[in-house]
Amino acid sequence: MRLPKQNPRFGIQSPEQKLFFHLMPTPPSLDNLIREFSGLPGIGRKSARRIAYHVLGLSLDSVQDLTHAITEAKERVHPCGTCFQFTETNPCPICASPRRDRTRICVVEKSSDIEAFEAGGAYQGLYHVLGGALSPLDGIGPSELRIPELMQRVSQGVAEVILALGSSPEADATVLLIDRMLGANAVRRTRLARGIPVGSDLEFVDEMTMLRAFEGRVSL
Amino acid sequence: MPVTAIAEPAHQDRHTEGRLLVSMTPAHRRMRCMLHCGLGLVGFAIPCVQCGPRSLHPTEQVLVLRTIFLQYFMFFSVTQSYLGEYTVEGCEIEATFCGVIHLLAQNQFRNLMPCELRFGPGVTVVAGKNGQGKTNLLEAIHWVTQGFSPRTRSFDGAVKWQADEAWIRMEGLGKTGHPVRQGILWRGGAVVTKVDATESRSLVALHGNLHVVMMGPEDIALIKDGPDQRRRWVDLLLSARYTDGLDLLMRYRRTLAQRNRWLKDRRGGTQVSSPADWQAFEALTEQLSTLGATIMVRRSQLLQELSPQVSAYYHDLSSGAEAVELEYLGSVKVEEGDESFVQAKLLRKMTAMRTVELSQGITAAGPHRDDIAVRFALHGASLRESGSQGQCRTAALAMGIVALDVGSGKEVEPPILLLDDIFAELDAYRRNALADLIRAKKCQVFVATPRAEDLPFSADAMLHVEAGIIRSV
Ligand SMILES: [Zn+2]
Repeated sequence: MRLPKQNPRFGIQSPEQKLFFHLMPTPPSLDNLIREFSGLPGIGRKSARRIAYHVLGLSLDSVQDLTHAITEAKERVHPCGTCFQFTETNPCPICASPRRDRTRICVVEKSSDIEAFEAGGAYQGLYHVLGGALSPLDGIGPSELRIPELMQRVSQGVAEVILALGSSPEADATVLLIDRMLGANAVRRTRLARGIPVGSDLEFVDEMTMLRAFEGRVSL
Repeated sequence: MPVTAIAEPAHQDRHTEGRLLVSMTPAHRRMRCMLHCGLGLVGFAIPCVQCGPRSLHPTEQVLVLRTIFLQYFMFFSVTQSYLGEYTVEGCEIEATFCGVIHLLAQNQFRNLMPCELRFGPGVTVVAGKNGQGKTNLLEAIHWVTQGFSPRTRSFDGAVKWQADEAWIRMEGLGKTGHPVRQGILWRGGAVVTKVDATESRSLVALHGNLHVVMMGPEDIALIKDGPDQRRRWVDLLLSARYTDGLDLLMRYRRTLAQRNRWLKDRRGGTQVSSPADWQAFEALTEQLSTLGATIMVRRSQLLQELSPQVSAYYHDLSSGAEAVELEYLGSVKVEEGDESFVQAKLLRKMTAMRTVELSQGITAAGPHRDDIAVRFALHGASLRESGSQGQCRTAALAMGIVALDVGSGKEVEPPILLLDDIFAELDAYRRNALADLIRAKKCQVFVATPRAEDLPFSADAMLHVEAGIIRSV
């Protein structure tokens, strides 16, 4: 075996090492498409690139179907006049249903949160979509959220307001704000419990979830 | 693969409680399990205790279940990345590693000439006169493993003057024991990072695989500079100690930014549009005071607990008999552990300062304004004002070592240490004391020094830096 002549500690840089990084130029219109996709929530630069290449591989018809679907959804779907979830009817099917419990309102940040509750089917009350959370940094104050509308609904005789907001600091501030604005109103205010997912092995629950689960423990 | 193993028959029942420590030195080539403890290592040779246990490299310890030991061992042998010491015990399945950096290569980083360096797991000494590039080498390690530098905020400032491309890359084993390859590429002002095969534009992506701590002469700022240095120190400890520590600090910081933004937008209090707007402010105030009180109480408890440890290290490092103590100086007085009481006080204080807050547009009280007193226990004088340069430096070192201790607690692996010239201004006694403390930490250490001959320990490898050129000695 031949040994390298120079001190092995200080090898000369090989071509593969130079190739450790490789940046490829992208055509401008493709780059633009990737940028549009990466602006979507939950899509990073890498996924955006993958989707963009997928779109390029589609037939022109399929691409037109896609753009049509986007435009049509945008044209026909609007917020419900009562609960502000996205719907094609007004009021939405949930608000219109005679089977729903009208004394409970579950407050969520955004329309898509409702899907998770409805999939479970455990909740039979109504919803209220705030349209975000209190965040002065993003210019979102009480008047940007549908809090006055919530107050209006609560004043018409509701037994319980369930605050099903996320775990962000902004969500926490929003809960405090709604609690303050409800003021002396006798309505019951509840938050969802946070904890260990049902059926999961305790070994695989992360430390934060475990901590929150302990904080939110209930007596037998 | 050169291997030495030291078998320690710690217990009679070798099948359940046999203990095997394995360490690699170049002197031994084969091993065999003398304990016949069912590790499946027949065919290798292990020198038994009588044959002479040799001193192990101060590196990581791996505790693995016996049934998977062979797998680990083969993996490290094959990849030639076998690090140090294994402990194999009965039924425990646990593996703790501290990371190791095997290779560092860079191009156009500060004044350094292009180089590719290989490191062993022990102590690597980087010698050279001041201004030749010793610190730059340590800084390069810090950048590529942590994604930031204690010296500059942006990577642009660390690139060689007028270079249009610069990069650093490293290979090693991360804190989970997996091989890690990381790199930073800087090209025309834009940074791309790479962790294994994943590219990203965020330097944060580099953080988390290896735990690296740099200590240097600028640490004296911990004592001499403003309170933000000391707050950062205690918050580091807080996030290492409490599971939700980092989350708590991030939530506080975010809520503080929200509240400050509200104040700034309504400076002078003239533009408050509605009662709902005030209620939003009050909700933010309540939230901030709750989070703030939790932080204050925890910081205070942590300092009460750590003050004796800092004092003990300070005592070890100084030949004199003086002791130091640390105390939390909160926006409001923090009593024993009662968060709701502290929260009420903080809320009152914030309400009292509302006019000031509205005119200045910032939150005027809370843990982000607090300080830590570092003072002589005997007469209560602050080190910052009445301590000598040497005393301040020693106190900063003691605080740094306590941070290592807390950081290497049960949850966190011991860090790789980058020590930049910290022996320089210490007398022989303090140098030896510090060396003992560092040796006890059992990790890979890089020491930069202008006078290698004064070091109180021997180097496992020595590099010499002159005008940016790094040679091995
Ligand atoms: Zn509706």
